[in-house]
Amino acid sequence: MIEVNNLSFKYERDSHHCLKGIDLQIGEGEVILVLGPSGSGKSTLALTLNGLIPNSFPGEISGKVHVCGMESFKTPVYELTQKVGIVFQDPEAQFVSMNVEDEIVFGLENLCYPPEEMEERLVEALSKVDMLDYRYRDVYSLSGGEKQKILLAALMAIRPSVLIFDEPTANLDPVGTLEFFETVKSLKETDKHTIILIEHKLDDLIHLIDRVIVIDKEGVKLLEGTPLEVFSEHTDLLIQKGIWMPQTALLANKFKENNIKPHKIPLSIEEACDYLKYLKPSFNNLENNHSSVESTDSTNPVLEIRNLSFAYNKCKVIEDVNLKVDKGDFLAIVGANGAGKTTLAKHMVDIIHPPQNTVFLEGKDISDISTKHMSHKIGYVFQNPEHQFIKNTVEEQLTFGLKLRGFSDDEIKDWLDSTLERFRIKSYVKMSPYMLSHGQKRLLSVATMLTLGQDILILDEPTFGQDLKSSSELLTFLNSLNQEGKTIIMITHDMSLVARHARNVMVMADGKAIFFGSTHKLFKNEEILQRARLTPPPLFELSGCLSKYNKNWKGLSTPEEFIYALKTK
Amino acid sequence: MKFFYYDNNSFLNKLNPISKIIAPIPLFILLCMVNDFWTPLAFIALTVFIILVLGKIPLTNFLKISAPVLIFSLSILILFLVAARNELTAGSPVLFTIGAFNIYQISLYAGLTMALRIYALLILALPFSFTTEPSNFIRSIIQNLRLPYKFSYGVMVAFRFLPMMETEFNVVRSAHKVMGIADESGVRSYFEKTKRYSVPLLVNAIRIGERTALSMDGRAFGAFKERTFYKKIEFKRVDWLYMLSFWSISVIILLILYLTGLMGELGFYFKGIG
Repeated sequence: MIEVNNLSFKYERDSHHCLKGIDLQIGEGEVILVLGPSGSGKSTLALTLNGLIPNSFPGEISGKVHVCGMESFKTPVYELTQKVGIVFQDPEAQFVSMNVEDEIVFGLENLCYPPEEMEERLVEALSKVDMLDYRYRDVYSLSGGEKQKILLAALMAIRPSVLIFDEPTANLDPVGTLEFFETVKSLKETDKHTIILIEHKLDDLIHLIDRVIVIDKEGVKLLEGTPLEVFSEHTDLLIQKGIWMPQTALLANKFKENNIKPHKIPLSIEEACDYLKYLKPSFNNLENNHSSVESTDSTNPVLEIRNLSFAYNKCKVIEDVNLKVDKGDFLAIVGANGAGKTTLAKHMVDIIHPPQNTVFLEGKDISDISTKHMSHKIGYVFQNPEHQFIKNTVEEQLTFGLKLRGFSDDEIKDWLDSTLERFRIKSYVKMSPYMLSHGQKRLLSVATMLTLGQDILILDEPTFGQDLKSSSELLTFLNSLNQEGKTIIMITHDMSLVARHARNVMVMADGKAIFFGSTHKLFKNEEILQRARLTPPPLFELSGCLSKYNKNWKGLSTPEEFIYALKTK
Repeated sequence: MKFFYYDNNSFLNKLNPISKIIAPIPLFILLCMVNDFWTPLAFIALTVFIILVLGKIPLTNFLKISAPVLIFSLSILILFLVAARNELTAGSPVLFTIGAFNIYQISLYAGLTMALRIYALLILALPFSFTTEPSNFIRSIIQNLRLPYKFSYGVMVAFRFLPMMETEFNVVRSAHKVMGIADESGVRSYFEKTKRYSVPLLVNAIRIGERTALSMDGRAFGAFKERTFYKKIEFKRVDWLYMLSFWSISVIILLILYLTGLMGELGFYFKGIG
């Protein structure tokens, strides 16, 4: 179906190759997962398969790509795109039309199909993704997950043999992601499509995968094999390269480090449950432990919200929310897309003006605090770090806050040196912040915030679009800040992240705060999880599965807790 | 993004968008030249009738959209009242005095004429904008006027782009605000501000644009010189009928005004009463 021989590619203005000597064979009906750290050329590889490279992006290309018997560099793009369709991330930017029907027929119109056949294919494509009811809907009324499914249907209408998904769930909440994977699964089962997935949310899709291909940062193929081969034989390499792995594989690796058997790597919860059920965890005191965390002194919260409501265009976005955040807390705010998380956070920093007597910072009504004063008390890191780059160089970006606060030159220099060292961006110091990698940009935007000396830091989706390495670097950094006494509030979809790092969780659904408490209490509360469209982290599901065999497995949700339960005598 | 578009099944909604654009064009030119207030008033009435009856637009929607136009027209009236040029007011009786301003009769007349003229001109476009779905408009341009589809689709995508960029702009503004950088006034900070906003906006616009382009190319956009259309938009007899009746009614109105002596002298420049 697809044959790639010694493919190399360099973008016109880049100094180094993005792909180097890639060899690849993909058979009909195979489902391939492509993994790699961010910037490793995964998307570039996808674009070479449907001819958009080198046709739409100029650059140096060598090697050969054959798709369905056609040589891709010599075939017009429109021939190739009929065979290979790509769904990208960011559904918003991929839409051409304003309503569903137009979007589906867009490709067919370009290929000059007669209207009668379009009608037939339109219905067929929409039913394949189970969205026939959405035919007459407006694009603006769709959720992110629905948009991605419509875009998929738009490709299906052209009836391609190969479908490529380039991080299609990056903007979706956990349930939206799961639904999208279900659709992919049904495509695999009913239509025998060849599917290439570029994705790092692995836990829910690993069972669909026939083969994994790992590409390194330099654009070289690092590994290839079945999921079991790749994740069990090369665990250390993957971790070192900062590549996402299934949670169960990470857990097994932790076991290995601690000399706990079994050494066989499970890829799904069922497998893990099978391998682990013979182990005997000692009594784990997690259940009692958590009450002590919660009973911290709540009389003097650093941030308090009282009966806050907010409506936009007569539509209630936030409804009567109350919240107390203690000093030094690590709070996660979770919920489905559109549940009001970001809107709530925006009230905390006065981006949206809260009404009087609703939001209090260190006991003072926030509407009485000036913008300037606010910005020294509480920091907000936006989803896209670039939005907060205001200076020409990394150095200026890192120091302007300190200069503003009147630190001496020596102090500033010391701080700058240690920060550059810490984030390993010394060589970029005179360069534009835009030249950094995605992960480094994120770290820089957090570091910039810190220069303003704030005690409370709010982060909106801090690990969005990052590889495992930069994501864990960021979390280590946040944890160290938290230990220094800073209060961290984090909006996220990643429940494993919540399990590992957050002390308390607030759950929002339809603008209401429906839960506040420790992470463990949340994972046990199925009703709340369902209402908020959340899924518990995979390891918590595993612990639930194992607790049938031994009740001491109950309530574990991170690798550390599993090890703790097994090691304690 | 919908702008004013109101989705219903009215007569206007089913017309070809092009007929809705072409019909008022002669009137548009004519209204630029009338110097009395009866003519614009008559055509305001006609337009409002078309919008409310043929377009079935709810009165509140119409009022909401036309309010800014009305305010604009009123401000022109006020401008004329207090600042009409000297040779115009010379010899005209003073109606009343506010502080240092003498309000002349002729200023009131000229102001009303101008205000009504502008209001009439601007709402002439509303029957079209209230009842035309933007993508239908693009389709009719390509199908009936034979404009190259690559160009017209470019326009439509740019159209989709605007609200995305607006959102981006607001995010950047709040992102800078929470860093304690307030938007100050003054020339120097104006340049600084422009740079501070434009870089992230440009970077993101390019990124979004690139994605859209990939998504379009990935679905064979521009493969052939022509493309087929799922929804055919035809120029039907009813479209001719609409245009012809619109013009006939306009001529009748103009005739009546002329014969009753209510129409002033034609010309772009207001010279005075009769």
